[in-house]
Amino acid sequence: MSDPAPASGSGGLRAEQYLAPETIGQLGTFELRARMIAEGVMSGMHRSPYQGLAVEFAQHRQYVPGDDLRHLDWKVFGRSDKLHLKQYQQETNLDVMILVDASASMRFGTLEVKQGWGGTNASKIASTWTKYDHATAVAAALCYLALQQRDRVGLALFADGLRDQVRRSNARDTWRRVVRTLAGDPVEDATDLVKVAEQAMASVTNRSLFVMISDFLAPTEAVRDAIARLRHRRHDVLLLQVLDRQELRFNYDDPAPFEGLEGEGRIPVDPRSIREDYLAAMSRHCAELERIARSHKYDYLRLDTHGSVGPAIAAMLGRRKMLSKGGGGR
Amino acid sequence: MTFLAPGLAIAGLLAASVPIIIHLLLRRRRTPVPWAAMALLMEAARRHRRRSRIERLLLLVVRVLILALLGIALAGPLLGERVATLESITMHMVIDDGITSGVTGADGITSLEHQVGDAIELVNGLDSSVRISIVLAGRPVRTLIQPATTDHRSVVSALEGVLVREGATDLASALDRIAISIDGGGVRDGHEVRIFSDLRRGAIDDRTRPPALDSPDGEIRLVTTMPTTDRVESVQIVNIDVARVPLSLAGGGDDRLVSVRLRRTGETPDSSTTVRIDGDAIAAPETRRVEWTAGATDATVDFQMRVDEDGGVLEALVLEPDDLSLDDRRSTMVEGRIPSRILILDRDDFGGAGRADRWRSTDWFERAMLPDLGGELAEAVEIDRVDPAALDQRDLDGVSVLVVGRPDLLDDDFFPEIVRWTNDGGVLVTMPPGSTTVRPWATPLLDSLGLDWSVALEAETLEEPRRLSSSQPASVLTRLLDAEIGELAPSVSINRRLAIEGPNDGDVVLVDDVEEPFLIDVPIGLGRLVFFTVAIELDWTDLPVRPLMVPLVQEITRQGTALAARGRDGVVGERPPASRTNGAAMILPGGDRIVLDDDSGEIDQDRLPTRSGVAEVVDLSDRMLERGVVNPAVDQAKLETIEREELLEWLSPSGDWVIESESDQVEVAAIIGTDIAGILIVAVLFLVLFETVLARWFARGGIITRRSQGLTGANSEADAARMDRTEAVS
Repeated sequence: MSDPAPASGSGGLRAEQYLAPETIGQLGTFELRARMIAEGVMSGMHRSPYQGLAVEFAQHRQYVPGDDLRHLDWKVFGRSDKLHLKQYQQETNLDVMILVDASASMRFGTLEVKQGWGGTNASKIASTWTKYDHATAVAAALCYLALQQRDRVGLALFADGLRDQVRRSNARDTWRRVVRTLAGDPVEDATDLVKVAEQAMASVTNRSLFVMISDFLAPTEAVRDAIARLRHRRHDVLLLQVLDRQELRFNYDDPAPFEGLEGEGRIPVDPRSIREDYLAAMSRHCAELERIARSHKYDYLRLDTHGSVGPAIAAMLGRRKMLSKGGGGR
Repeated sequence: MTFLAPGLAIAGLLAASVPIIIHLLLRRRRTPVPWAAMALLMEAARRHRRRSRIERLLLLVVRVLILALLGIALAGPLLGERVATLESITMHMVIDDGITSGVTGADGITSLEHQVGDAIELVNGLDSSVRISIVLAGRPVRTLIQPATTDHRSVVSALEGVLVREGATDLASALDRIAISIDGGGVRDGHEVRIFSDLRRGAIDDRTRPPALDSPDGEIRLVTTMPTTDRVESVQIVNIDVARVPLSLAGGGDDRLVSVRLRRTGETPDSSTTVRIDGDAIAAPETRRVEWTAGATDATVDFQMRVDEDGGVLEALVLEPDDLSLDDRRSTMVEGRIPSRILILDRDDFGGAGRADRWRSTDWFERAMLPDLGGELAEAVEIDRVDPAALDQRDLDGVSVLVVGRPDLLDDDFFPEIVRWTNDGGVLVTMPPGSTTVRPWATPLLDSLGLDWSVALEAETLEEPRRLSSSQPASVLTRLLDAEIGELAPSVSINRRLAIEGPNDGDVVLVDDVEEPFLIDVPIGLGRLVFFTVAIELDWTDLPVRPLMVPLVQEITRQGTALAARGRDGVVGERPPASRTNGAAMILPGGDRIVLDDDSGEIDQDRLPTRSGVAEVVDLSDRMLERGVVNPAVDQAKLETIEREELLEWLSPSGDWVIESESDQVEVAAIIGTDIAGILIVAVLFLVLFETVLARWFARGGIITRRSQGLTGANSEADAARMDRTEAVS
């Protein structure tokens, strides 16, 4: 797992406040959310995220704090006393395909948000910040960033197959279509990652970065098969596992029946006595996911719905940079 | 090991159920928690399930053990040899609440109240460790407090609620209960048995003797109060006899002779007593006065009165108050006009009914019953015939007389029904079958009736015909024929007979000229068995064509029915008013309900009548079938005083009794043995600590609570790192 730690400093804490779900959840539109996330991430970085590595000059743009000084156009500065950067046109556009899990398990969440302060329809009803809320917020931010860099972005919601989909594009209306798609609700079905991978690859011909945002609670064998298929087609993959804090820590006290969201049935549970066994199982599961990702030299990042969404953005940018350099990890 | 307070030990064991109940309650329904990572949770549950089951079981055992040990510890367990010295640790009180305890003294207080007061005083003076049980000796005998208890307050409270009963005093049964209690107590202990009674003549029943009272270790003390020397005066109604007129012509508004028999106890000076007859069987009450001469103890008052044709209750009452009021009232049931129903058991005869020489016993019997067909007697008598093989229990309902012409054809399985019917007051008339039979019918029938008679299997044909003797024994069955029997009997000759041995001489009604029984009449329960040793057929005897036949058969029926009908009145604590009606239940005075058709034929002691009054027999739908009365046990209400020696002699089978004044206190036993309560308390404390640690261990996964933090998101880790750096900078 990469460690794309955002910048610290006086603005660090402030940035994290912007990136906290409690704050994001108060914004009713994905556009605002995405911008807040992106700005929050950028404000904490030493280097500007808007730096392509293309070879052909495209245009000038005004300097913003954090830009690499090596790209300053000193000639323009000499003429106008203004700082401008030289921008270059990429030789090959990066295609980003973001897959968001909209299965029933993504409805789960325990972080309470204030009633009527944004969120998806599901979270509005339950007054909780669900994994799906977190996933869509991250997805929106990633799309926003990619579009800002003129990358071609595609988006798809999936469960037992691909559901709503936005074709890859960097056209102006892409962002609106992305937002409209993400505004939907999770479905009642379970996840079939292998099928999703097959369907997603069918619409992608060139090499792309697949960002899969899911709780990945499906059997690890299914994840392995799905990843293997993507690797076979030489795609790059970033796995973002979104889990609720209670799923990660299991801080329940009273015995109660637990009921699966995807029709697994109901079992009586004494949380205090079963906690260690559960955490061990969860730890094994996550470790196996990470091992699968690393075995293919892909990135895997686990996100806590009670925590900041910043690391996800940083991870995507890091991955993009790696691809742009032509490494791609492969 | 023994206990100073076994009740607490039991309470401790019962308290052991508390954790079990809590365990069950904790399984209550809770609101389900929706969960996404269900597969992982189920995997964890599978791993945890086996371990959890063992842990819960272990905790349950420890908790149950804690409560059980606590209860035992509080009960004061003693380890080692036994407890007491010679004096009582357990005191068994016998309180005489029988009818004689209702004697009221000059101070207006009954004998029972005196005795109860003495008993309470004794209880209050006892050490709190003395256990007390109480048995009430008035019939039906019952235990007031048992097993023995150290809760003296509740003992006093129970004693204060004891009231005089109308049943006889039955000290033997009361002591028998105590003997059982001592034998089955299971506690090695000292015992003291105390009788609280005035001990008048009625308290000492010569027909019974008390049982031996032995403690398992031989340490028992028997104490009784001194027999009272106070002489009391009381006039008792001993019996009401309503004369019966022959057969079923009785009732119907006839004038009946009602005799009330009185008995006087105590002082017997010249005096007078007023007796009143009342009840729903007569139109208006009548009063008679009896003059007593000095020394007279018995008197009979006769009333000639018109009795309602439907019958009813007749009640006699002594109007003058005396020292015992419970014996001043008595009731009896008077039968109304009920047709006598006779059931004949024999096979249908399709061929020989027209020829007298082929008539069978039952044919002759039937004709003797109804010599004037269509007359008044025919209205009063109903005669039915049933094939013996087809006899059903319901056929016996309402039957007064059962004539069994072919006893050899009766099913052995039906004998118990006949026996019960007879015991309930039926008159069973039987005779040998006229034709030859190889079936030994007599022995099983007589065995069922409890008669140890020997009856020949085969009829004996006499070489020389015998005749009935001109000198017949006196019998209640033929008392109305006494004047003529000497002339009528010798005309009857006998050719064949069934040899029989075993009947008592007093039960034989008719004998032949060699003093062999011809007709036997024996009481069976409330009914009778009338047994002919000959078949009433011309091959056997010429009785059917002799003048004796008709009056004999009619007397068998009328007197047998009348005699059997007696004794329907019940007595408090002894027997419910018997009935031949096969009703479903009897509602006793006071509302208690007993089942009449119990196969065992015996009624539980605890279900005997406890008070006087009118009882009702009801069917399954609570429809009243008939009534009966329950009277006080006046026969046993003998108020004469007895001597000390006579009392001790009567009590002697149960052991050596001493007579002491009631103020004597029992010595409280010293306690010998090792008190292990402290050890148990320490063990309980240790177990409590152990349970706490164990429960915490199982709940948290370890003795030391170091709760795992679980996993974190990568972003959270980054946040934490940033926080650390921020703090370092500041």
